[in-house]
Amino acid sequence: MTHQERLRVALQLQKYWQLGQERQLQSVVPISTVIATYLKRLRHSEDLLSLARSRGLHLIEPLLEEKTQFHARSLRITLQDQESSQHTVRRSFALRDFYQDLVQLEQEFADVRVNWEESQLIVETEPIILGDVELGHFSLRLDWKQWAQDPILACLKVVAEEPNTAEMSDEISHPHVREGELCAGDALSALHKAFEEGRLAEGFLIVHAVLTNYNAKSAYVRLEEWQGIPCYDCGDVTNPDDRSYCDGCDHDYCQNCISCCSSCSDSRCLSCLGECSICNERCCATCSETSPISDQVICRSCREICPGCQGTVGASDLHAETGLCPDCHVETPEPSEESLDEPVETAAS
Amino acid sequence: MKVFYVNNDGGGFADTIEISDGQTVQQFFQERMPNRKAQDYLIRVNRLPVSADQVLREQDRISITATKIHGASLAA
Repeated sequence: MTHQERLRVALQLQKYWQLGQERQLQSVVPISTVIATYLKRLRHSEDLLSLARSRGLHLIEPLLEEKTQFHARSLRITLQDQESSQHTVRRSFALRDFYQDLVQLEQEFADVRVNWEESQLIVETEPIILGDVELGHFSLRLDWKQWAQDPILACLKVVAEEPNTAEMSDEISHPHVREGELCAGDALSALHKAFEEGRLAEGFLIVHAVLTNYNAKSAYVRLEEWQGIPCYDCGDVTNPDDRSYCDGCDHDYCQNCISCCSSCSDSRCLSCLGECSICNERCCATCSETSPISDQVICRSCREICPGCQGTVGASDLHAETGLCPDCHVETPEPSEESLDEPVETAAS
Repeated sequence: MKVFYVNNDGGGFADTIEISDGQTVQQFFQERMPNRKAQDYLIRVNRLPVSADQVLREQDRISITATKIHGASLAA
């Protein structure tokens, strides 16, 4: 960037930053109004509490005490916030400051340029590699007109110049960037503050720090899954539409290695499906049970409960006449001819 | 003497503060960022990289920016 161009950009940045500051000041609710509101609520709660006590309404006392404490706490926090915000007095940012920020950006980053048509200051990073994944270089684009409207992060786009997007989604060009929007995580407060106060060089350095670090715990897509998720069984990498999740073992499978339970229709991998000994259909562990009598795996459709012992058995194992399982059903021997000739003992004999 | 200190760690902070005369960058860092490692931060004085033993001067602008910051996903 030439001295002239730098000066021109600095003028634009200063102009729109000041517009943003004025806009913000106009939208701020006077602190006295906020305090008066909280104070009014606190007094009302206290009045209710003393009324309840004077009338012996002990049951409602804890609730009113809690409300009073809540309003007192809100008031205290508001006052503390006001006190701490006085330390960060809004200071004017001179043209020289913006100019020096541009000089610093040129020293810190691979490239700094301007898109006048779109009123963008563009800062380019070096190629970024996280783990084994080459994500390419990114351009950080500050729209200074948008900055005046919203000094927070909406004015900043993070654009992958040679995108190596996640297999799962073309919108994710970095574990912490989606559709060009950075999710700043731990850096959010510092980033807001830097852009709000006009400290552009530091704002861009914070964005760069987020881009060069990886937080596996809250990434849009984890690096190990960047190229897609391999099937847990055969190892083939498939796109998300052709992938199914097995709730039985918590792994992802391709369409060749997944099936579903014939009883509940839930997706399960082949290892998590058992075969019913009666109908030979595949069913999941929830829908199948092993009969303690026959040791057979029986699906929900083929399962019956023996009315004698309450045990689970296959429907075909129940006796046709008694409806009992083989253990409960005792064959009564057929009466023989000899036994028919024997006299029947009666109580009288 | 007075210096302008920009701390981009945590919530962010920028203000003029009072420090003792003859303080080096290293001493300043240790005092302001106890238990932190200097290698995890970009330290700039008047927007330029500095050596640890550089002595700070009146009206210097010192900025400290973490280089290891965790981003997140909105869903997280």
